[in-house]
Amino acid sequence: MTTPEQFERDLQQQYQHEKARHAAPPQLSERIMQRAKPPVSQRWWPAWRNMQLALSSAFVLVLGYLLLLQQPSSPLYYQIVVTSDSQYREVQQHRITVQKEQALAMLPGDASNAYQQYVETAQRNDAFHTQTGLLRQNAEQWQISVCNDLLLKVDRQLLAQLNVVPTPDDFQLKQWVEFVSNDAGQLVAIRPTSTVLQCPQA
Amino acid sequence: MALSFFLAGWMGAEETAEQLFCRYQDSSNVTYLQKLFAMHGSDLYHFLLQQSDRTLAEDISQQVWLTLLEQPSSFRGASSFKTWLFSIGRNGLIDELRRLKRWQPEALLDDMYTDGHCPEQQLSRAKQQLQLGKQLQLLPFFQREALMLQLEGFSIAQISDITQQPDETIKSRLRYARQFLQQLAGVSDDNA
Repeated sequence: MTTPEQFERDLQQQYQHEKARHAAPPQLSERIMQRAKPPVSQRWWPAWRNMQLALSSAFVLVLGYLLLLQQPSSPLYYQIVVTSDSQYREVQQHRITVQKEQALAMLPGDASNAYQQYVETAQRNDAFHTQTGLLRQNAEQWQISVCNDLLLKVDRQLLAQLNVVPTPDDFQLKQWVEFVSNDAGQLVAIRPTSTVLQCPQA
Repeated sequence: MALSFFLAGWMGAEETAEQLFCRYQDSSNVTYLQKLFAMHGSDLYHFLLQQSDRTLAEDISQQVWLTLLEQPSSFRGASSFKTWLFSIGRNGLIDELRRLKRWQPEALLDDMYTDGHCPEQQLSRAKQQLQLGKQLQLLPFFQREALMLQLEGFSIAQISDITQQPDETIKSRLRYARQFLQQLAGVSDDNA
């Protein structure tokens, strides 16, 4: 006769044996796993979305950078302020300014172009005027005096825009120079000269 | 608890079904689902097979696992993963049997005792002809269900949870099931 303990053991063994004989068919697992896998397009979606985000960000950055480059800087103007004082009949202050009033636009390369034009046509063009004066340098500006008739005050910012040969650093603190103006009175060139201006005695 | 979880992972200990499910839920990595299926897929299939047939067992198994895929929040962790799995499977099976008009949970027992022979003769014939595995099929649906769930390793409380029946009902079903099978197996009454 079988004991209850033996019966329980047999029952458990038989159950495990039956279960092993009737395992889930492989195709059942395959079907479920197939359903668990997202479609190919869906699997690529996060990567595609991230790529779009990265490209959009890069595009915005590049666009912003280009816009920054394209942004027009404030235009500069060549301004000549004419006054007089007790010593000079006329005092001209030549400077660069951002104020449009009473000034002529000074586009990049204007000074170079004017100088080239002067070099090419100096011998036969009355549009340029050459004068000789005594240059004195100080920290902020150059001052060129033509006897008691004219005093030119040229600020350093404008000098950087002009064709000064040799460079402004090579000029002595006080020396005779020849300066060229166009018909608008703008300085086109300044160069050292050995000519000494003989001023009439006042 | 969290420490033991991390230590278990670090030590390479086997992951529980609940851990695998959480990882699958977080990552949608099919590998975790495969491990879950390897852990409990055949258990559920076998349980459903014993209560129905091959086709239905496959269909219901698939439904249960798809429920897991499509409504992962339906497992809230109130019970063990396996309890939840069998509960969903069992309910799905009964719904399907009802839909197919095959829901006659007491039919086998009734037939057994009303086919013109006395129970002793029936038992004697079954004892001679059937092996223990086949004898399970002679049990009424609910008794077989309770016994199989217990053999599967579920406690009385878990079986009660799966079947939505009181503990005492489960105990009665188990007792009747065992008595029947013991008679078939010729278990000594003295020792019973």
